[in-house]
Amino acid sequence: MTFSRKLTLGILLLLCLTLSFGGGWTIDRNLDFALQRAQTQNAALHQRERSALEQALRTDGARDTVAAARSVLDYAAELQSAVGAQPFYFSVLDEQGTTLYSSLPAAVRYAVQQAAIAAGPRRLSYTAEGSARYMLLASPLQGSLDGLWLVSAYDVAPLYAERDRQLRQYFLLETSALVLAGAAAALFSRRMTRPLRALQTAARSMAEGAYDRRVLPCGQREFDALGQDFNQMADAVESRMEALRQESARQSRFVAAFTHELKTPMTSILGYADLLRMGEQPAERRRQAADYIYHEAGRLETLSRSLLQLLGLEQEQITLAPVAVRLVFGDVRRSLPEDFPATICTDCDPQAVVLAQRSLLGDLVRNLVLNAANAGPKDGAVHLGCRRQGDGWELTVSDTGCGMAAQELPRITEPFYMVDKSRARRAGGSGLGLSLCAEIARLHGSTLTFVSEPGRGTTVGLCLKEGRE
Amino acid sequence: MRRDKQGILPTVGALLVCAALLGGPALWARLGDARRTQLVTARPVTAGALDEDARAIPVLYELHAGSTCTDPDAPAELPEPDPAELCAEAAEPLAALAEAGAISDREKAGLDALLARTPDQYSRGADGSQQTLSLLWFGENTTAGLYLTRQAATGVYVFYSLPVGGDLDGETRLRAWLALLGMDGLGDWEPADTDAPDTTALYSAKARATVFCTSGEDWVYLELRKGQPTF
Repeated sequence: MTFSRKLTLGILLLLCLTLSFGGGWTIDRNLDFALQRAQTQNAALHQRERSALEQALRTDGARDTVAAARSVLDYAAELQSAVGAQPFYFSVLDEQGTTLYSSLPAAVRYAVQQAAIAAGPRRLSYTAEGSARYMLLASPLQGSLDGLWLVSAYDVAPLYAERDRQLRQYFLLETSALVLAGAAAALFSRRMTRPLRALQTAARSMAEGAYDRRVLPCGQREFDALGQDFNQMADAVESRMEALRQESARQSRFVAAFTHELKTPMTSILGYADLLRMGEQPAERRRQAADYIYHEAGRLETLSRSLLQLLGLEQEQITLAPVAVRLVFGDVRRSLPEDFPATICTDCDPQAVVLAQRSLLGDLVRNLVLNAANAGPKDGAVHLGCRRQGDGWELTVSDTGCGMAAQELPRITEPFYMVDKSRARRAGGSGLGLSLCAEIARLHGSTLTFVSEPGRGTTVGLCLKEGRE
Repeated sequence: MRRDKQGILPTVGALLVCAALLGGPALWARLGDARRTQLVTARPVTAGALDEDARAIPVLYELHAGSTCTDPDAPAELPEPDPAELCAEAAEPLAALAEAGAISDREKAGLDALLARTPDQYSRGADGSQQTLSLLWFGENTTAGLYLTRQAATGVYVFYSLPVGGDLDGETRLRAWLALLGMDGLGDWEPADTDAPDTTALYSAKARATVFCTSGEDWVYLELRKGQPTF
C-alpha cells in the first residue's frame, strides 16, 4: 500500500473514530439531559397528583379498600373529564398488591409496577416494550388507608424518538463529512507525498543505471533536506561507480597484459623446446635454442619475482625512519652494473634527511634510474636531485632521453604498460617497474609526478617528509 | 501492479471499518437504551415537597396536609363534658410526657395532684382537624390552667400549656417530646433563633416544622408548628 493511501486511510479512520464516538457520546448525553429534565418535571407532576389523590381519599374518608377504590375511580373520572387535562397514567395498589385502579398502558406490566413499588418513593425506574417507553414513579398514599401505593407512568418515548431523529441526522452529517474529508485527505496526502514519488522515480532510474539522475527542490523543508541527501548520495554513488569502472578497466588491461607477457616467452620456449625434441640438431643451433630457452625462462622468472614483489607491497605496512638521501643515492650508484650505459650525476643537499624505508626507497630510485638510462639520454647522463620542497624534500630523477607523450603519462604506472614495448623488452623490462615505484611511493604517503616531453626527456619527482625532528 | 493489488485488501478493510464506525452512534444508543431500561435511579427532589421520612410520620403529614390550628383559644361547640372524664383524658398524654422526660417527676406529681381536683372551669372544642381540651383551677390568688390540643386525624397532641415550674430547660423538654412524637429519627432538629424571650425552638428542614418551648415561672408551653420559627 502506498504511503499516501495509508495516510488517507489513517486520517479517515481517525476522523471516523472521533466522529463516531464523539457523536455517539454527545447524542447519548443529550438524551440523558432530556431524561433528567423529564425526571424533575415528572417527579413534580407525580407529587402533585399524589397530594391530590391523598386529598381526595381524605375527603371521601376512605377507610377500607372498597371505599378507597371508589374514591380513586371518582378521582380518575374527574381527572379525565377535566378540560385540557393531559393523559395521566397511574394505578393504585393496596398493600396486598391488589390493583384498585389502573389507567396504565399495557406496556407497563404488573411486575414492572411491583418493581417500581419495591424501588420506593425516593427512586424511579424505566420500562420499555417495543417502541413504548415509560418512566415509573411509585409513592405511598398517606392520610387515609394504610398501604396504598400510587404508581405513575410518564411517556418518554418522544425523547427517544427525538434521539433517533438526531441519530439519523448525524449519520447523514457524518457520512458527508467523511466523504469530503476523505477526498481532501487523498488530495492532501498525494500532494504531500509528491516529493517522495519524485525521489522514488529518481532512485529507480539510478537502479537502472542513470547515475546522473537528481531530484529538484520542492519547497518543503524536510523533503528538500531529504532530496539534498539523496543527491549527495547519488553523487557519491556516481563517483564510486566511475572509480569502479576505471578500476575494472585497469584490471582488464592488467589481465590482458599479463597474459600477453606470459604468452610471448612461453611461445619462444615451446618453439625451441620442440625443435630440440625433433631430433639431433647442429651444435650451433642447439646452443642457440638453449640460449633462447634460458633467456626467456629468465624473463619469466624476473616477471614473476616483480609481480610477487608488487603484490607483497600492496599488502605491506612499512615502518618509516629518518634516512639521509645522499646515502640512498650512494646505494643506488653501487647497485648499478659496471657496464651501466649512463653516467649518474647527483645534485643532493647534504642536509637532506627524509622519512623513508631505506631499501625500498633505494629500489624506487634504482628503477627510475634504469628507466632513465633506457630512454637513451642525449647527454648520456641520468640526473639525481634532492631539494627542499616546503616542509619536506623533493627527490627527482631526470633524463634527456626520448620522453613521452602527455596522453601516455596517466597510464605509465599501470602494470605491464609500456610506452615502447620493443625497446622495453630489449632492455629486459617487464612493464612492472613503474608500478612498483608507484606502490613504494604510496607506502611512503606520496605519489610520483611525471614531467615529460617527447624528444626532450623526462623528470620524475617524489616528495617525502622531513626526517629530522 | 502487484504492490497495488496487495494494497487493495487493507484498503477495503479500512473502508469497511469506517463504514462500521458510521453505525457507532446507533450502537452506542442501543446499548445506552438497554442500560437505561434496567436503571433504577434517584428521584429528583421536588421543590416544596415534604421529605419522605417526614411524610411517613403521621403527625407531620397531618400537620402539612390538614388545616391544623394550634390556637388553644379556638371555640368549641360541644355538649357539656364530664370534668372527671376530661381530667382522666388529660392525664394520659401528661403521663406519656413524663415518661419521655419532657416534664420532671415533681412536675408530674404536681399535675397529678391538680388533676385529682375537680376543675373549676373546663371545656372541649373541635374545629374539624383539631380538638382542644381546657381545664382551669382557681386559687385565692392564682389560676392554674391546663390546655391541650391534638390532631383530630391522628390523636397526637401538638400543643401543651402546662401549669408547671421550670425544672427542665427548654431544649431538654423539646428533645424528649420529639422522641415521644417519633420525630427524633429525622436527625436534623437544630436550635433556631427566636426573637421571643424564654422561648426555645428546634427546626427540622426535613419536617419543615418547628417545635417551641416557652416557659415562665409556673407555666410551660410546648407546641409543634409547621414552617420556620417566625413570630
